[in-house]
Amino acid sequence: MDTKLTWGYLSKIKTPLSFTTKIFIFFFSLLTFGMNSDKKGAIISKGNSEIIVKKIVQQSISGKITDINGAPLPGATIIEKGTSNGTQSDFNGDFSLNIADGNATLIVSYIAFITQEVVVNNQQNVTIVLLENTEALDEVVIVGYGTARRQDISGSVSTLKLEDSPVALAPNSNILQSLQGTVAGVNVGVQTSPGTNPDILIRGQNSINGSNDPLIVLDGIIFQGDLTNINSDDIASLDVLKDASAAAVYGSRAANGVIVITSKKGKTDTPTISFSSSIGVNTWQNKPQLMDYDRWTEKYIAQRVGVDSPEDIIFNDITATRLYEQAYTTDWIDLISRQGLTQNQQVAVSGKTKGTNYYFSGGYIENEGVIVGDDFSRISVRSKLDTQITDWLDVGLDGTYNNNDYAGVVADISRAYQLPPWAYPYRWETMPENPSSNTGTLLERWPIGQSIPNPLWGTDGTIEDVDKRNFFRLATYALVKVPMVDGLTYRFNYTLNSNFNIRERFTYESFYISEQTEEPFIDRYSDSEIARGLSSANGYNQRTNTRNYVMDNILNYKKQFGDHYIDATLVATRDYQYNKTLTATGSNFALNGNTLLGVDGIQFAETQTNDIYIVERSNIGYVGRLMYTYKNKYHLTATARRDGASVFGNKTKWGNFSSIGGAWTITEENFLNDSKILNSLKLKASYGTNGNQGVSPYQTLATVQNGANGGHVYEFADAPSTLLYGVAQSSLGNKILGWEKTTAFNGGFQSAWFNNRVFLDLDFYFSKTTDQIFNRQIPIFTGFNSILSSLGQVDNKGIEISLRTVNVDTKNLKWSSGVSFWQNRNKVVSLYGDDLDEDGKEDDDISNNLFIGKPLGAIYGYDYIGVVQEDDIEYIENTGAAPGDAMYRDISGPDGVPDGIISADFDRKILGYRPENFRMNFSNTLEFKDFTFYVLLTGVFGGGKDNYYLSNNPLKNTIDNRAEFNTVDHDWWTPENASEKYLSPTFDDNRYLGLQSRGFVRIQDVSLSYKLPQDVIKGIGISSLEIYTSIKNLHVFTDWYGGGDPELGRRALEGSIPVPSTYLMGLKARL
Amino acid sequence: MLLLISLGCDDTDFLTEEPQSFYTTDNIFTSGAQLDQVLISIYQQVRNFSKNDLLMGKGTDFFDAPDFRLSTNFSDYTRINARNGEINEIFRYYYSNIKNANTVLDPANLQGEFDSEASKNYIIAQARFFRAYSHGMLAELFGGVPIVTELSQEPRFDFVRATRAETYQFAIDELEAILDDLPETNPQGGRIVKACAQHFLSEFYLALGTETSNDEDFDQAISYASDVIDSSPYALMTQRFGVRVNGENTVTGGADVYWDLFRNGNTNYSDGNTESIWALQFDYDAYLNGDGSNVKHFPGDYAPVYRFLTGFTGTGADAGGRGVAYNAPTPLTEDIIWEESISAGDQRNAEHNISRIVYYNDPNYPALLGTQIPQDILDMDYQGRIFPIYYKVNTDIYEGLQNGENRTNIWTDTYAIRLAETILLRAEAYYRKGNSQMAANDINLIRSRAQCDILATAGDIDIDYILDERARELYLEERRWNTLLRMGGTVATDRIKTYSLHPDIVLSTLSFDFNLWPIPQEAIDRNKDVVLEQNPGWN
Repeated sequence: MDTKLTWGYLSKIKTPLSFTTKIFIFFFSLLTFGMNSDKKGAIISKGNSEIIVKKIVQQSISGKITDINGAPLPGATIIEKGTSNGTQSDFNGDFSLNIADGNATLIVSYIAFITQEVVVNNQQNVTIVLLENTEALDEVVIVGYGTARRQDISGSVSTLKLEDSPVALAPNSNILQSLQGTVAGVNVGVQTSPGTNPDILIRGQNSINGSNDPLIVLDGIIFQGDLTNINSDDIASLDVLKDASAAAVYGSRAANGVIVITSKKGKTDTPTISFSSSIGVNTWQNKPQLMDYDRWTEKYIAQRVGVDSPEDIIFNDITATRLYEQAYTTDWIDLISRQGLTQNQQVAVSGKTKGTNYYFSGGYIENEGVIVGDDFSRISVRSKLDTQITDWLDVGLDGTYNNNDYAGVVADISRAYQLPPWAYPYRWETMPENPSSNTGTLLERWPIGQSIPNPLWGTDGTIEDVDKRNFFRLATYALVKVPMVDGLTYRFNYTLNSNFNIRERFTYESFYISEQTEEPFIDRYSDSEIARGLSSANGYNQRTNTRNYVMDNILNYKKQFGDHYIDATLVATRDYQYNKTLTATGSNFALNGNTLLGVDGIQFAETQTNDIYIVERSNIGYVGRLMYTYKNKYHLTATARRDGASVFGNKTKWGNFSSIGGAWTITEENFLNDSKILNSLKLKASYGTNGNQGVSPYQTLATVQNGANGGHVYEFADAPSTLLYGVAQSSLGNKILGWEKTTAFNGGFQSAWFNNRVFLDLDFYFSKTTDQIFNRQIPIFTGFNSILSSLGQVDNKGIEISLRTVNVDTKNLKWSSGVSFWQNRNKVVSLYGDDLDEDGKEDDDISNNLFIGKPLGAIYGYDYIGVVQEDDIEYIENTGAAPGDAMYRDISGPDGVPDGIISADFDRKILGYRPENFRMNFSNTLEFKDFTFYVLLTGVFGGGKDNYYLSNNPLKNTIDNRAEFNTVDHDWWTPENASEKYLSPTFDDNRYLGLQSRGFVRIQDVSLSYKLPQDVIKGIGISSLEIYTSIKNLHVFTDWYGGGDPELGRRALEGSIPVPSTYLMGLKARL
Repeated sequence: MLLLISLGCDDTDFLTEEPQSFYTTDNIFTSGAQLDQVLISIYQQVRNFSKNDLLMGKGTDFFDAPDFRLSTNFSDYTRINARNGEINEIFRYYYSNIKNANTVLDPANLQGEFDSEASKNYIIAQARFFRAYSHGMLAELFGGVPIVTELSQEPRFDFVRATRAETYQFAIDELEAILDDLPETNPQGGRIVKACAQHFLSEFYLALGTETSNDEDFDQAISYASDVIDSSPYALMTQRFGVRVNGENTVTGGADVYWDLFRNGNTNYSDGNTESIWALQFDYDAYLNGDGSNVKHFPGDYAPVYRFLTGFTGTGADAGGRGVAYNAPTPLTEDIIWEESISAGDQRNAEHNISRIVYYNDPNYPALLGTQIPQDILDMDYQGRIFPIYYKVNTDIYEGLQNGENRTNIWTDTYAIRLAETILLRAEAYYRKGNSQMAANDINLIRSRAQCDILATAGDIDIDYILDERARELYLEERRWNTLLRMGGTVATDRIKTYSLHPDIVLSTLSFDFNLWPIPQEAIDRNKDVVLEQNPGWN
């Protein structure tokens, strides 16, 4: 607060001042003077106020601050150089300032613009045009409950700009996908099914059993919803708050980091109408190659004793035998997959007029996954309005409505792996004879006669499926600039989210076609036979209502006092979630005799049940934060927070969290001020504690199971079909369950070199998460299995390096690159504190793969060292293995030395770890005239001395060897072809894991766009038009075996939805 | 202003969890009706575990997984140890029953309203019955175990094993204490009645006597069995009865009273079956109405796979349903106990009770169609797929076919206690006390009813004879492991070595004679404050 400004403000008041007003002003001046550290202000204490007023009105300058387009910049800071005298521009960009003399220099700064110095040169009125900082978003950082200047940040924050960036051209329907591989320290998994959220992990796994999801903040307010409901096309930028200091302000749930999403807003005076439209296909690349008819036969023969030729193959089931003999081949993987169409249509209108900023958008996304029936579409509408009502009050309103449609029955992928190639998908008159004569495409439920249903069964209308999710969001705020205290604002946020989800499913009697037992088999599809299934027909109507609100009260004081800059924030926040799920189920329509009304007729079912489930959850937080900067060189941030959460035990609901961070901008020091090589260098460090809620609502209560859905039901002989429901206590309560706490240290630097052509950032961190919430197993004698307890500790450490370079910067050609490297290591420090084997060291928890001193995600088992060959006589004798089996290392024995026998007690060890060793990315943006080319390579690397990033591959084939399943086509060991890699086809042993590195490098995003030249489009009334093509997941370089995607890392037979590759064409236009 | 409103709210109230759509222990136990519902949960668990094939005798001299399902057998003692999951599951099951019983008996929960003092006493008596029953079963299978009489409010890690005799004694004391609170019969068939407690008093006294070699215990065993056999409403069925009193087995023809005992609708005392003391309830309509656990997969699990034979197709009643042969009888239960020298005239082995004759039925083999499959064909090696159809656990008339069921399932009630077993307990007690003639008399009650040509003499009686008779009468009905293990000594392993379906596997892997299952390692490990001793020989 500056005294002169106070007087300046008062001098505008035209009406004569009353005596009491004068008194008030006098005291107020004194008061504000007390806070003034400026030396000139000291005059006040000596002289009387009249003199001062005279001095101040000596010279005044007024003017306007605009951007290059002439748009006013409200809130720009204007300071007389070498003094603390300054002001801010008003909403129209206008300012006026009293200055010492006409030779003064003004320093004009504005967030995201380059700071300018302007010599007044006796002008009375100036228009100052600020140039946008090309690294604009680096300048302002979202810090939670407000923004901060990047230079003041002592924590670790990464920013990803999306608006007008080639990154946004990628087909990312979920906002998290744009973080996949792009930001150091952030691991985002693959998205397989449209409309779902990929996994995300920031700086490693902290919590063993609790959530490791980061907190999501949208436009400054905690977002308690499904990220699918955030329209990627509305997003301007993402900030990831990674360390304790940055995240501290969200302390209660910030232990896993915070992702702050900032949406687009209006920018220009004239309305901008923008269209974008894209269309493309999803395809399944690297489909696994399954065995065809001949290979299948070959393997089947090899697996079975006494079966030496195809003629010997006789199945238990006669239908199977007959079908097999006819040698028809079906490619089941082809049958359940497709080229899925994807389209995205968006329109937005935005702009700003006097006092108002508006952004309206509407969009439609349709996305077909690569598996039949995996469909998603979304209609989204948004309107966002920010208005300045008076010069002290701003209000805003942001409304969103989304309609997501997930309806559809998805083909069963694992069935497609299980069915042998000779199974036939359709039904026909003479089945199982002569399938090739069939011309129809009506599905057969049991393609081999029995046991394994058709993977497409249910997608053919025998199941009706509705899955609509409506989402409403209303975010409002009021921002009050507290009168007469310059820099003090009060902000009130209130956000309401609401979901209304409609889930309906009905399985018709036509679904329940019996197996092929009595000929003629086609009769099973006759009306009378289908009617037998009426007793099995069933369906449910489910309605889920969710509403939640977040209410923030934020008091903020920002002020520059000469060399000192203070930014203080006080927050009181609370939020509340309410979820009610209502399910009405009906089954058995035998008495009703039909299911004509489908899911809307479950009230005619013989058995009807209703289920209501309500979940409430609430949180309270009180926060104080102080940021202090001296001479733009030394920065300090301190935060304290007290949090309460409903999910914890009665005695442990509250937790206290605090953090402190400091930074030193070395390049502001005189000795580095003029360095030509080093443009900026900031060192930073932070330390603090954040919390994690490792439990879900009601988990601390002693619950009972009862009623129709309690699972306990019995009948007595006097009324044998009357269900009597039982009661059973299902868990022990725990009243003292509390917060998981993560304490972290972060250090690092940010730097710019060679005339801002090279930017190098480095962060390293150490964290420890204590009071881990475990489901602790308790003695069986209690009758309960486990109880949630706070125990144990996990440490994480890691390093993140980002390098950005502008390689070429000429008029026609601009080339910039980015490389990031990040590595995280974690370690289980302690678990339950037990030492049962009394060796003086805490015991591992082998059954849950938790080892003291080792990372999470350990794979513990027998060390596979190759294939047993016929001449391994000793091994065969000792272990009973057969040639072609897996051979394991004989690590030790009862006497501490290898004993020749492979046993669980002495021959297991940690084979490796599921998390990766490190990740890297490499991005390039090439602009040539009107063309922009962007390519992003991401890589996840395994290996290392501890063998990271391992997973089971399709060579682990125990199930497929036992059953008559199909499997990925690979060789097998035979006495004649004694392979060193492949095992015998009859090998069946769960000790063999088939571990392989999942390491890969992916060409994740490629896009090429072309902006049509102005002279071409001017004539047709378009201000800009860009056409582009974009490919996601173009190619993966990997040794991963057996098809599928290494990042997903699942074996084919597990039946997970594959990772698609997307090819897209689109255009963006602005009117 | 808003800030003040916000701060003015009551934080504690805002953060308190009050479940709205489910119950907790704080609000459910308002009356005796809820405690009776806890009993319902126990009844259901007991019924569901009556289907557990290990408890039914898998791996004993009764049955086991056949060759083609070797990975699921219970004969390989490299797999049977303290870490065996199935044993652990059974151990947990009994302690879960004890927990539920203790919920009923918790003083705080007994504060609510009851219809009458008598109804309160009956509820308490049933809970104490199940608590005693579970402890007794544990003692038979595992030896002495921790006796738990209180509902846990927070975890304890210091449970201590009682001795086997103490555990039996606890069960006995409890059962004796409740005798007067149990009714003679209950119109609500399936509820615990007085004879249930008397039957188990007989069994546990017999077990205790075997453990301690105390003749007085055998006297008690005889006395309690006699209370049921001689002076209660229960009596062996000797005439045909029930829903198919004039019917025959529609597949094999023929019928008798033993066949009637296992027909659907005949298994409760209230059905006119005076031999039924406690039946576990199954019902197809209840299954349809939403009790998904109310079904037995016995025609699937315990029936042969005749369709494996060339010339035989389908899964109809003539094949014993849709058999998948998860379990197959041992030579003992398939042949040895039915040898002519002992079983001449025995109805229990009649074709309509154990069907060994099958006819070709595949129209693609017209020459074979309708002819009997020759014995030498049936005797070939099908890796255990082919064996007789046991109508005790199967049926000739399947329910639910009109609704698409496929002859895998059956909904006939299961006997938990049939008077025949009480009689065989008394026979054993007499024998152990040295009174072989009385033992033979009891056994002959059973054999006479079965129309056996040959009756037992005092000289015939030994433990093997009793075990064989139990096999004839109670195959797939008694808890065979309990019976073998409570005999002590080497009885269990001798029988297993002799009669296992996989004797070579047993002989090559069974390295010591056990008469207790291992205490699950998990139970030992979790009890971290007190070391629980493992049973001898297991590690």
